[in-house]
Amino acid sequence: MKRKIVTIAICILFVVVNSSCDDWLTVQPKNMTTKEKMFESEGGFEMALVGLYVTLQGIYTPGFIMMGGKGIETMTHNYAESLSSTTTYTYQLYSHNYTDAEVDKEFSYLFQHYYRIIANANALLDGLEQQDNVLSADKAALIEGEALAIRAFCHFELLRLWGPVPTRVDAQKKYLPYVKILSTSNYEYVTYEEYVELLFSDFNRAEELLDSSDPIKNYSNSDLNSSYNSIKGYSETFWYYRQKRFNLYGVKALLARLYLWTGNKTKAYNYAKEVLEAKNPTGEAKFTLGSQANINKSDYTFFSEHLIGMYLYEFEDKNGNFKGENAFLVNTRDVITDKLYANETDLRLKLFALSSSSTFGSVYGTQKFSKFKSSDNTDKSVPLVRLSEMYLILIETAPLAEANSYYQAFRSARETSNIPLTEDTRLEEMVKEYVREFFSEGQSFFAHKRLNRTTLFLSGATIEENEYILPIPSVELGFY
Amino acid sequence: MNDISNGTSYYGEKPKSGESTIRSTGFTSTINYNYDNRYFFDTSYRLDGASSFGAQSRWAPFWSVGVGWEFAREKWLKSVFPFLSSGKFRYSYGVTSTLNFAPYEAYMTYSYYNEQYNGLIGASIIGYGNPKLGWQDTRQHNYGVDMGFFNNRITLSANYYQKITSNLLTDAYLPISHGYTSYKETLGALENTGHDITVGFNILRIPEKDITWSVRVSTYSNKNIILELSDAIKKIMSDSEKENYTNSVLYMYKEGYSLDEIYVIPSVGIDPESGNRLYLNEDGSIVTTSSYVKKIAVGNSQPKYNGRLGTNFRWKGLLIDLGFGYRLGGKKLNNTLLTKVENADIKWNQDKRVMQLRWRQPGDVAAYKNLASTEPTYPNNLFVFTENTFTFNSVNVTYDLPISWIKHFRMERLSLTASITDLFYISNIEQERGTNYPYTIKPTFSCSCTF
Repeated sequence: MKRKIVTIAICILFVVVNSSCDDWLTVQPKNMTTKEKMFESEGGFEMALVGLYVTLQGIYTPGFIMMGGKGIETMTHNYAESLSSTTTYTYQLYSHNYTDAEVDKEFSYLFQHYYRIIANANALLDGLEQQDNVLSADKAALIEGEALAIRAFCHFELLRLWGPVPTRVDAQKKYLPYVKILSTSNYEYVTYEEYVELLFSDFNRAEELLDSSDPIKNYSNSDLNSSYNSIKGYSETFWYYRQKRFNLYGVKALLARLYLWTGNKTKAYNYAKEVLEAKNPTGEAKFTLGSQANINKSDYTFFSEHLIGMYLYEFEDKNGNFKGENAFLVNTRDVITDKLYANETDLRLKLFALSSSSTFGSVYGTQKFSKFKSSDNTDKSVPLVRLSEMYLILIETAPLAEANSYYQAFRSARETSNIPLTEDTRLEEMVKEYVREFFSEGQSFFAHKRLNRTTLFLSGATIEENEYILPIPSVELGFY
Repeated sequence: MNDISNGTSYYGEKPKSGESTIRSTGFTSTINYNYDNRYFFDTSYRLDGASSFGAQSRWAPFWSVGVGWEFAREKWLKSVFPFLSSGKFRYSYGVTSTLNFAPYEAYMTYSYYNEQYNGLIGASIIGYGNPKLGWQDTRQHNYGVDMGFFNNRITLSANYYQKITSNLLTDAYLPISHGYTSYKETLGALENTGHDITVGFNILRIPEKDITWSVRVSTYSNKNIILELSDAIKKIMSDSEKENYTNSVLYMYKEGYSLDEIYVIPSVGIDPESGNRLYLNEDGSIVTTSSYVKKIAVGNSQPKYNGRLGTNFRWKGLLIDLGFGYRLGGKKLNNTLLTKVENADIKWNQDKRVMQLRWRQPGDVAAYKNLASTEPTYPNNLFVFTENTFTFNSVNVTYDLPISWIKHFRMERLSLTASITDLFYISNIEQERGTNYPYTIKPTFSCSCTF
């Protein structure tokens, strides 16, 4: 009997010991880290933030939809299209046939990847909310500010592509989901008004946080773009190269863009002016317009203007004169010199190089992305927002006289003529400037869409309102 | 981060690495009790935990319980049925589970990018984790009886089981507004029921002349039904429903049907006027193209009954063993008819049935389509037959030479064996076999000796 009791007692003890084994049963994989473990250290937060940039840079690479010819530049008819074959992918883009299977597939990829960055940002924001003393107050504010800005930016891009023309909104329609959580159940699609409200709330909060922590406020870009980490109080590389991250002025610029998109001209004007007038401690302007000097050192993307740029370590043109892929052979020489730059001299013509193509004859290719090979010693930044856009916003929204002074400054920086604008010519000239300035950068499609233009500038083709709006990818619709 | 695959640059190629660690621990116990060797009771209990299941379903208990009754040892039974030499009822119920996916699918994990962003290293989420992932478990009822008659001259053993497997691991799909397309879920249930019966006859047992002869027959059968499917699988099924292959049937997963159900297009024969094959649409209309016709379930590819027959005869040193097998009731697509008669291209050498049985001119009533047609016919119900087969599996003859003959050679044992397998195959479906891989009959002769 005694032996029975002892045996049973030992068995029970064993079970009890086993149940407290939970710790031992929690295993950390070696080439991955769980979300919990990631946010237990400062490095984890930093890596999670940088992960957002790596994915974002993958979208804004020259040659992909947002930058190059097999994407919105073809949709705007900025890039030439042969029209001889009606089955090619670029033809579908050119004729705005968005329901074509391949177009649907490419845009689903884009849609998914914006939301992927958003999901990662949400995980990071979740970690930030729950952390306690892992990060210093400054760093926590910087990381949170950047994460919010990136989340808002991705949602804004989604809105610009899949949302309605801003002056023609259907108030009842649910356009897109604004995602702020991580969950496996379906995300709710919201109305335009709600979506824009959430956008502003994220951008405003980001501005607030970056205002309190971003070194770009008090230091010049040349100090920050150095690898010597020489600024006192900022010893880690994480604090440097602010132009290649979502910094305070980048967020202000995005707010200017968003206010203009939603029709609030006054606020757009205010924010654009803030960016333009940002000064270094020594008094000179923080961001300056690109000039011949930039071209002399092969800086074809005008890095001094970049308010937010994506660092691109290596990109090689693969065919044509510069061995370029889709970004490069843009349009015939005549269309560029005669139509685009109106037969005038223009600094921006130096950003093109002559080549020839069997289909089109003499063509221009853009040089903007020709110096991104790993052996090139350039700034390697692909612009998301540039100072030029701030000038264009000011010219559009300021009172006429002031607008004309900005116009004159801008046009002379571009070494070309300027005829003072009138209220009648202002908008028209602005659309042209968007196309001239942002060739191969994708922004001119959005200028056309925002103003609901009925013709595309470079080709003169007519365009309907529905051609500005992408349909929700079929893969997504299957769930709703 | 000391795993070798996290390095950013190497001379030559960058190595890839994979690593996984699973830790598990468990506890088991059993209790067995019997009374007078007539009543039996057994139970066992086991507790397992592993790192690969989510924190919320870390531990799972498994257990089973069984009872048995040797009714042949009951005194009152022996007097009523004296010919019953042994008999036992058995019943058991058990719950078992398996662990069957990658260790880290329960957690949301980050993996490190090997590219740097401006001198900094980035990490990004691999996918949505699911902390609720659990064990795949199987609950099984088993009823059985073993009996022997006439001093075990005739033995009978029968089992009936019913097994439900639930919480099967499956992919659940996400809308792309989640950034990722799927995550792991445990959903889905499958039911398997079946029985097996084995009867043995020890016909001759003459120890004086050293002769024995026995025959055994067994049969088994299993049926499965899908009880529950995840929405993700239902979606894949509805997408693939439209697919057609020229020489095989479509298997689909549908709730309420078997895993092995065959789905084909319904056809109603050949139009005597045009030689085209006619198909029956869902709404009852007859059409000549099979592209949009909905497929129907026509039966199960698994046989209803499956079994073996064998006999064993021994006389002194000679032992002869024969084995047969049979399958009754499974549905099968007659591939030979489909590819070599219906879809045969008359430019090449063909089976003579192509000339005899295919349609040639208006007014012909034929079973197979127009000779001139070049479009392939996809599997349809007129080519699916119930298959009953009987095979002669093996024959084995062994002869042990008598000791008196071999002791001159100082051998203790010398035996000669001859055997052949797959001697014949009888089936109600005539089809070509062995065209992809030649058949082997494997006549084998061997001789073994012990010194």
